[in-house]
Amino acid sequence: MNNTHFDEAWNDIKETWNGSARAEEINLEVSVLIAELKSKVSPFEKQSIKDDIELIKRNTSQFEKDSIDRDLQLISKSLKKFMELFKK
Amino acid sequence: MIETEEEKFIQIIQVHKAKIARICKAYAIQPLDPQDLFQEVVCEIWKSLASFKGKSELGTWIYRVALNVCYRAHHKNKIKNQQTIHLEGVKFEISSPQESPDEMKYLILRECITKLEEVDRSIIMLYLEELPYKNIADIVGLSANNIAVRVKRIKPKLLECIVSKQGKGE
Repeated sequence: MNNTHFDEAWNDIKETWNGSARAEEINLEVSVLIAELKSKVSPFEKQSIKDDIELIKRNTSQFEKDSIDRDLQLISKSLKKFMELFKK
Repeated sequence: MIETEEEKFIQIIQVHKAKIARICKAYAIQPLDPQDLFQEVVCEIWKSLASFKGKSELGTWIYRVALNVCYRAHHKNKIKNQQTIHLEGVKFEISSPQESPDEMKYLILRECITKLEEVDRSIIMLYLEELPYKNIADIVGLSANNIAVRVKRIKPKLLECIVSKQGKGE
């Protein structure tokens, strides 16, 4: 394919791309949309966060869980010792 | 006149809705729906507009949000059917028949774009949107030179794919 043909073909691709959203008209009902976004976005976000937490929970290995448990135990032990020393 | 955040938001959507729609349509391979993706992008812009600091051009930021939402939806959908938001305030009306020769051409173009690697896919969509290399580079996190090199490589690849599909009468 020579340069002229290549450019022509590429212009055709650009036309096709630009025309892709023309088949549909998007109309906004402003007051309805704003009211919906105000009321819907928060619960939707909560659900989305819940889904993400579930995903993380499923993908956290037992090794990581045990490791966190051990760290927590160590922190509480050290904190206890510190508090006892502080009381004296 | 002082423009409220809500007025600003609506104006942004009005101005940029066609470009958002093009990106969403390109990512809307079954079971994803372009209208659902469009609504997700509208929601994301609503949520994130306050955090837009104007470091990049607004139009560039919109592309980044749209690509992120579509990319995320594309990958989440592979895991399981995710909950999607539905907005009554956004109405879609068909203004020309879907089965036109242009629509067939578009389906072939989309299929060939979908076959590209993820980064190349974003780059070529943004290039088709006529964004300067620098802005494309800001969005995908590569240098402008790298974008130029990649575009030069992607264009013939895409064209070859389209010609071969058109030749097969797909």
